[in-house]
Amino acid sequence: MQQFLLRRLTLLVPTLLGMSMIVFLMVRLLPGDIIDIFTAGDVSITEEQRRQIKEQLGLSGSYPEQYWHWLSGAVQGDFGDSLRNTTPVSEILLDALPITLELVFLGLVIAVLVGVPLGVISAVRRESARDYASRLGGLIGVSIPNFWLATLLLLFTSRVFHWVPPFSYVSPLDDPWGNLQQFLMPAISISVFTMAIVMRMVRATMLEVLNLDYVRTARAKGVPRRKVIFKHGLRNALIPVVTIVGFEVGVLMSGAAIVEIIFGLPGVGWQLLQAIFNRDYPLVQATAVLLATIFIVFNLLVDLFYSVLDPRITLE
Amino acid sequence: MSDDELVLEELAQRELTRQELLAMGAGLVAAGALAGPAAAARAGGTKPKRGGKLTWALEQDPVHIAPFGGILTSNHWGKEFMYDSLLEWDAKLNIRPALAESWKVVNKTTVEFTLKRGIKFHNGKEVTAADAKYSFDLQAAPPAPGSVAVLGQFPKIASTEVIGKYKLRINLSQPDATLFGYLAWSRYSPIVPQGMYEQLNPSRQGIGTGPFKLVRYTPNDVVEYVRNTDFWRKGLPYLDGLTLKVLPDEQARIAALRAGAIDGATLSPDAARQFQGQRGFRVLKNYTAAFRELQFTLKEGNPKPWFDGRVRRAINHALNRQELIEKVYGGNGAYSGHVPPGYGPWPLTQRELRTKYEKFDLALARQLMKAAGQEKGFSVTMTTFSTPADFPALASVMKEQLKRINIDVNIEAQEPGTFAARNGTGSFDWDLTARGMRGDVNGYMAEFNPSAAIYGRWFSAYRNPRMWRLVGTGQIELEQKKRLPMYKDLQKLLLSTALLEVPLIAVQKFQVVRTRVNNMYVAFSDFNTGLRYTWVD
Repeated sequence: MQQFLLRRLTLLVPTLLGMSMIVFLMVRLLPGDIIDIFTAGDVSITEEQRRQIKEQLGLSGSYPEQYWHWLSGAVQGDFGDSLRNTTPVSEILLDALPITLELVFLGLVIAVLVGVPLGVISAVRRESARDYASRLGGLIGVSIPNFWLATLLLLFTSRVFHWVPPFSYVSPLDDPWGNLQQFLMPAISISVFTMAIVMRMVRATMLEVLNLDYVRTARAKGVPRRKVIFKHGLRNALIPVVTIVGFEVGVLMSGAAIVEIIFGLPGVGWQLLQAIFNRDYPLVQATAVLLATIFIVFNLLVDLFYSVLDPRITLE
Repeated sequence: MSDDELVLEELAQRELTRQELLAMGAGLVAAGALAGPAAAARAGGTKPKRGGKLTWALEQDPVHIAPFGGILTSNHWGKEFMYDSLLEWDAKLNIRPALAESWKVVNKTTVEFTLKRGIKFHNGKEVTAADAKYSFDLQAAPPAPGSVAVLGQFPKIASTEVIGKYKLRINLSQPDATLFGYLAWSRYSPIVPQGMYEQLNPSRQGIGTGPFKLVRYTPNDVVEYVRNTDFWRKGLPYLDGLTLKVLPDEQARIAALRAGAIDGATLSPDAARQFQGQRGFRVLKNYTAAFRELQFTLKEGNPKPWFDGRVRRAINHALNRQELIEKVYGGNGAYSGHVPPGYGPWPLTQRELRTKYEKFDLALARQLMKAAGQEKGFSVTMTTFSTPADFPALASVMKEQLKRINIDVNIEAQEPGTFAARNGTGSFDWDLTARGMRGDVNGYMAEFNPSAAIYGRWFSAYRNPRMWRLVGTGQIELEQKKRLPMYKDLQKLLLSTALLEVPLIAVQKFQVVRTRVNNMYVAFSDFNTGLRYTWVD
């Protein structure tokens, strides 16, 4: 177990390094740099002024120099300052991270709490009206873009109830009820796709597991139906589901970006999108590294969780 | 009603009331005359009311609210209620004193300003010439988070001197008429207390003299203000509090308006139409300085068919601007010259543009193409912005129109950053682009100055000493009355002979407010200036 953890954590370093290099290059290779954006429409700008701006922004060195400068700061926890407002990037991300994490967490909870029971019902009541309804719901869930659903929810509540969630961020520590009101609709919006995927996966694996010998044996032994389904069936059916959930964290985080903008939640996704449009290189790099780290760590946790679900699995 | 009157009628949507005009002084009464009876009628009977709070949605985050060197228009949206400059514009874009009481042009390179006495900053300190000097020094070299990228707008100020507690002398390195417009625009020229940058974080905090004091700015979220009870313009502001909520998504702004979570917002024309005639809402519109135009490159050593002035004239007359207005903007637009309609006294009249300089005349266009030996036409790539959506739509209609003179236009829509990069380096043949607000009329002509770096990148193959002379003298002539005919002549020359850029149309900006909001108007400058004078029921 320790070896497994050590190996995975060691692998984290080259993964993040490679990813940061790719992101570093990609944002710089986009046509139009931050100076072009800064000076867009200003016909009186001179080459000398462009050079001054470059120096002011710390972009005058070669790419390897710039990368090294950024990396040497990053390993010490200094991700540089935003090129747009000179605020330390770490400060921006520390403000934004709790919002995105809360949104993704809630989205995941909703997806699992609704998706798993629906999948079980669908599998157990195969070919029934409930099964068809669940499958249809699943099909709709994977087909609806989350930004569209978010917009629809907003317009619906504003037109019908003359209500929209509070738009200014409320911390759950200051006002838990206000916070829940604010996050419920965005969380539902981002959860629907994952919910549908979870439901379909649970249904498929449950159908498979329920036909296995040990389940039949359990039934033959007279184990109560509920116990057969949940203890023998669901527990074993959950392993591939947990894997999917691990991957879905990435989907939820990417979906969060647009949904955050729609609901006015100043989270990491919103910051990243803005940073890309503004060619705010340090912010793009740090955000990408942060999101990648969250994704990798979450998948590591998922791997660890396998052995909890199935004691036969040993992590080496 | 003439076309120009129609444009002015649109400008009258500013809805300044008689009471406010009186409160704001005689200078603006003249502007009320411009707005005409329409505004007066709309204003009728509504008495300004003190108190209440208003929430306005911003479609973009301010990013920072530092007073100096802000690049984005949204920087100013976040800070505009906190600061004032020495001068300001009235509703007609006439320059009038703000923090300054008066000014004197001592000679062509020296201007002296006398400040009003007793004006207080938000921290209670009185405004003096030393504060103004400190502010000008920072404008000349904007500290972070500001950028030197805005220095292209900075007039030719060599130094400033404090010559009395309330007297400031500005020394110019050469005569520069743009000084006054720069100050009146106030976007880059706020006055802050001496030492402010050492006392606070200017990205998120600030001390000014404006009608509202900053409570907090949370990036990507909210800017919150409270009333400045010591505001130097007595009786204003009417509101006790003003909150600017960042909501980039238009549908979210619409939902928030319907739910009453915000009191007003800028919307696209289509979205604003949903609110037209609906109880509880009012749709405001006005022209802004952001007119659309077609731009060519004429670079040495790379001859193209449009190097021939007759081809450029043919293009100008083959474009049916009225059709563009109808098809792309649902009828909400006006013809624009190089100076957009509504920009004070400077633009050519709608009549001049419609009947002469921008007249749609296909026969003439074909004749000019034939005379230039381009009867069979040519192919060209026209780049434009991928967003907002009106740019690709405009390009499509123009493509159809230019087909009639056998010009085959390939449209290439680019992400704004990419477009800006290629435009700035002159790596394009034709660009369908837009212009924005300028502090001085010279800002609309700066690219035609052969000493400007951009001239070499865009128009190096084009020579026109008369154009160069007019651009140069317009900039150094300090007397506005003498400048006016110069810039009129220059615009006529640009539209009849040079045509390095083909101005197309001025578009309207739409804002929707709840009916409890009074006196709001869509500002020509693309700021939300009306909120300074707004009150709520």
